[in-house]
Amino acid sequence: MEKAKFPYINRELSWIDFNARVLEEAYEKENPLMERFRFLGISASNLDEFFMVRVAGVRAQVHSKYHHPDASGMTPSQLFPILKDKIHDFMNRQYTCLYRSILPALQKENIAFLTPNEMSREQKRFIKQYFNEVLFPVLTPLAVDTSRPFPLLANKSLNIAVRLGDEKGESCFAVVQVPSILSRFLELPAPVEGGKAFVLLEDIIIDQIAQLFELHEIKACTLFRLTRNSDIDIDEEAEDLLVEMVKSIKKRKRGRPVRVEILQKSDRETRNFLSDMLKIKEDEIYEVPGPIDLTLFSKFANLPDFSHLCFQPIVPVYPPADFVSYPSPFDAIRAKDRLLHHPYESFKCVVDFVRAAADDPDVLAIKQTLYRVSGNSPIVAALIKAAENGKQVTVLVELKARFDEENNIIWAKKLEQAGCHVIYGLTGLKTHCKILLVVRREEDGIRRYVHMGTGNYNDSTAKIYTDVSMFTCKEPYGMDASSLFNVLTGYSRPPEYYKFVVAPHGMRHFFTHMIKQEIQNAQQGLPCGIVVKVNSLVDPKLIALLYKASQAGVPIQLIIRGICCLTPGIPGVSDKITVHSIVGQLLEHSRIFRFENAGNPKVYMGSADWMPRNLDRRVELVFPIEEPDLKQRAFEMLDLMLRDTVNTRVLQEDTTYVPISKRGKTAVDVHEAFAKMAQQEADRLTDEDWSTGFHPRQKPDLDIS
Amino acid sequence: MHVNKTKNNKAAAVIDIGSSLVKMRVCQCKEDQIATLDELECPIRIGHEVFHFGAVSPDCLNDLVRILRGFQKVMREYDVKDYKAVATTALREAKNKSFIIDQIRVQTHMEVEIFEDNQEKTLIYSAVIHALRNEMQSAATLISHIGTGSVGFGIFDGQNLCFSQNVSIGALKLHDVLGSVQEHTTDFSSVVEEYLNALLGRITLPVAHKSIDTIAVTGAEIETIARLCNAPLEQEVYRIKPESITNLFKSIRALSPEKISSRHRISEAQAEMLYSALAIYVRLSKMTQAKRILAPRIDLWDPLCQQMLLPDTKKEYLDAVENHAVACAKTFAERYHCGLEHAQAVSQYACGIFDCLKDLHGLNQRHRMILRLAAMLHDCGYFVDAKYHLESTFGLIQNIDICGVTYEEMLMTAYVARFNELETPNYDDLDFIHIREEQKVICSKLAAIFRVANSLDKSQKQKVQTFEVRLAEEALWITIQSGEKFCLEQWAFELCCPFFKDVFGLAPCLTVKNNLL
Repeated sequence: MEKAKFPYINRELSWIDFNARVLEEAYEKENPLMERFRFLGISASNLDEFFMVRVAGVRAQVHSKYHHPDASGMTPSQLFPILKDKIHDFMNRQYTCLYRSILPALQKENIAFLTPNEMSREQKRFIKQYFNEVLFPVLTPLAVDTSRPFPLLANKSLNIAVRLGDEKGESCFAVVQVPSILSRFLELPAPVEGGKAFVLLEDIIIDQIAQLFELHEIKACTLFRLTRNSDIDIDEEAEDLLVEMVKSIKKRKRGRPVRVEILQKSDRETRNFLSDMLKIKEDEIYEVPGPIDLTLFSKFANLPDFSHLCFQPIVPVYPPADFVSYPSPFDAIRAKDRLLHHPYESFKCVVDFVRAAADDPDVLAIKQTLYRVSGNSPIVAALIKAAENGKQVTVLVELKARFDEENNIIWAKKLEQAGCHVIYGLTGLKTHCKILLVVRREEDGIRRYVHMGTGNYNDSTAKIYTDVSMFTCKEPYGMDASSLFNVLTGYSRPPEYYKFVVAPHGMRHFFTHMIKQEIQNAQQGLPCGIVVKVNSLVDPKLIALLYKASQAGVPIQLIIRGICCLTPGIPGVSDKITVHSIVGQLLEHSRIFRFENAGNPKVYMGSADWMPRNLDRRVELVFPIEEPDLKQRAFEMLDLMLRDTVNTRVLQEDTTYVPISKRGKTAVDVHEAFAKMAQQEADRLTDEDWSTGFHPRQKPDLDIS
Repeated sequence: MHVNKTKNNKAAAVIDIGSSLVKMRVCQCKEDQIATLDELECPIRIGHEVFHFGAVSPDCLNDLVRILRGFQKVMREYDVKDYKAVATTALREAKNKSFIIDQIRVQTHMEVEIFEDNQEKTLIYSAVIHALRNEMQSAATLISHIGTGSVGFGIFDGQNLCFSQNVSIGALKLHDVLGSVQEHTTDFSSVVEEYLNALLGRITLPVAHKSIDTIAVTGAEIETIARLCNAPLEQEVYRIKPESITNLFKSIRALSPEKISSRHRISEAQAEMLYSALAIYVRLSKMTQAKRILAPRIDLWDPLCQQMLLPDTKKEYLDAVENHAVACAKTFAERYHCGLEHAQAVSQYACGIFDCLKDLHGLNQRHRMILRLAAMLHDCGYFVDAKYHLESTFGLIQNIDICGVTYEEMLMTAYVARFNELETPNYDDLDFIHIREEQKVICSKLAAIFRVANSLDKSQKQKVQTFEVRLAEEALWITIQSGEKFCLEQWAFELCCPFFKDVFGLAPCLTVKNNLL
């Protein structure tokens, strides 16, 4: 392995460490039981995506004999075995967690997952009936022989390979897909002794499988699941990007398998058969104790009967205190810039704004970027209505948003049909910035209202992702927003922005400059310091610069939820750097940057992580928060995050993450604390404020989510 | 509540089709100030194509149409109804400009006006004078705009622009015209400097170069130059030291565009333009001993936006332009040894008659200006040839650059000035075929007035002491008071009367009152 030029943790290995932190939450006995199931499910679905993109990528590099080492000095062929070992180990820990920690706790709640062997007669009768009436009609056994090739199995689908004996006593095979349209688990009639009992769908099928192969002897049933390479490679110069994307999504369904999960002690002959058919290597087969595909537990945790075993929900305050005493969102924004902290303050406020713009006769145009949109998006509905109302509506729907491509194609078509001007993004770049611009004619001229944020315009994820967004109608922001959209629509080339920092044309330079400035301030004995909260810190150039800053004496506090390739605390290298990772009830998603700036601190927010892809290959937006009270609020957000003791783990010099020692400290749960603060702000308002507030559909103490 | 849309919130747009960029500015009037709402710019290769091949290609036309359609969409977003789309040097010089303008009209329904060099520069100079009015009062200033396709410069004497000159070589054009030379020499900069000397070195300024203490410059590259010279920006004006421009040029003159690009962190295309623009700036600064260079952040669209959104400013602009034009004409009149007293006398009589006939002639202020210019320049032909001075006058005026005057207006001025009492406009005159039908009548009206005015100072002795003109009893009554014999003038006046009567349907009558009687 080549010696790295500076301490750098490999990106993929760091990601596994992050997922391990998610898994730790599943182990955490203080978390409600169903939340522990949920964390287990999240860790599994994270791992699926990791396989589909990152593991597949490293594997492709190995196969194409790409020998260039990364910043940690590791080549893909050196990384691949280490990665697989680490994943095997991680998967073992997932099942250990399930069997040793969660299922025993479940048992204490008198809830059990039963196999047919463990069922009562009534329960057996129930599953037989379910098989005959529901499952049988939807099951399609696919035989594999010389005239019938091995079927194309969908990515992440659960299948049963059945080894059959023919008349000559030789083995032949068939594949039965476990239907994904049906729930993976089924509640059984209650046991006599009380409590609740569930059965997995695949167990019912295997129990009754003889009914599908009446003429054959069933020698073995092997449950397996396939994960395919799902990275999309599209021709961005294609005439119609939408058509090209549809083609690529079809192609992705046939991506090369990168992982086969199979139950331990499965039939050896079937295992070999699958290995041959799927052309997969031995080390790409992952034997697990079962159940295969732990993502099922995310849905299981959502069962309404178990709400008492979940976190107390965080109820978004609506409307947020800042908007209450104004007749319309336009009035509130005209009075001053507004900051929203989601989900503590409801995302409905943003939806209301788009709806108000759609209905307002003085609004001339609405422009918006959409990266990931919810299934039944009220934002899209409002944009469609705006177009129908004769507004000029321009929407950039990023078709290349990974795993949301199909959803985005549907939205893009709907918006186009409604008369919106839809753009599919820029060639070679993903448009990741979150921005909304409303052009409104007012008595004193045209005024632009801008909303910018750190999170997607997605009302579903806005309930569980922490994000910050700002409304403003200040002219420089409006001008920059127009310029940015002119670039996105291809009507203009990138300008010099007044306030915005936009990737890929100036963001790397901006952050480099800001860090260098802090180094200079430290050298001159001026106040200095950096606090950065991002989801991932991967960029080698910025990491190297942060080390330099640490060596110059700049205190650096990093709040990195996910991948962090920087090693803190190395004497003489990074001893002024701390790295916190917050993983808890909500998904930390906001990106905030504070620079001490010789005693005149500056704070920025935006869509960009500190990764090469964000700084060089995406259109990202970072914007300054300038109004003193909002700046102060942003500083307080960072301070509170750094004081969290419940959800935080601290990265150590040896690259391990350890919880904060709670000894002698008051426990601080950052998510609870922010929710409480938002509620207190709303409670402080008088009845008079409420009476003039816009659209006060619900009082803040009611659950509107 | 639905706001009153008509009150003070009209947005307007200006589109500028340049050599290398198509730009649009959307603006509105807020508290009597022009506020920019949006600025867009897209690169285009019109300049390269026209300067290399003489015409705009179909691909380039398609790009242009696509860009303009995008701009139209943005205009709709601001509900812009008033727009002005103008094109400058590159499209003006394209052989197929008429087809391009037609295709733009057909495909986008957009009317594009091709600006003459003079129109473009006059708008910019006026904006510069407005922006720097407090800084240019004490001494002469060389005002220059270096476009991508042409260079214009003028002398501001503290009150008016008294000289203007356009040269068909801009930053991009210079690069493109001499591009092929680069293959044959490693000392490209010397070739550029020789070429610029040949073009600019023989232009005589009307004032001593020592008396010019300021250069005011605008142009696409000046921001980059100001930045590279570390020039401070004060109230939207960069203040650049002449030596820093010279030093910057010296530091890059021997470098390739690639090297300039990497040294100064600009694109190669910018580097090429920077080199050409700097060469022109340095050559211009050699024409003066200016102690400072001021670069106000002004673009063609500034005055255009202002005129669209603040209509009162258009009147001010036209008045100022007329004064500049007459001042320039005076400079040329001096250069060609015209009698200024005579010119001013003729101008006074001509304007007096013009104003008196206001209800009859149906002409406007610009036509009055043509009359003033004709009065100022009508004798310049004598400088060339005494026998054929009228033809020479026509030839000279036709080809003079006068600030703020279009080519057609100069042609009309030439026609008006070429008639004395012995000659009258003739529609069969071959030279007349250059003029549009409706302009022929206007020229005749102006010539009729001019001939009568000119006749009143036939002796060039300014014998008239008082001059009165009035309309009465279907005649134009001109009453003058003089202390000298007026026979020559009366003879000339009589010769001018028939044509005047033909044109206006009323006879001019002259009453001479002798002071001695």
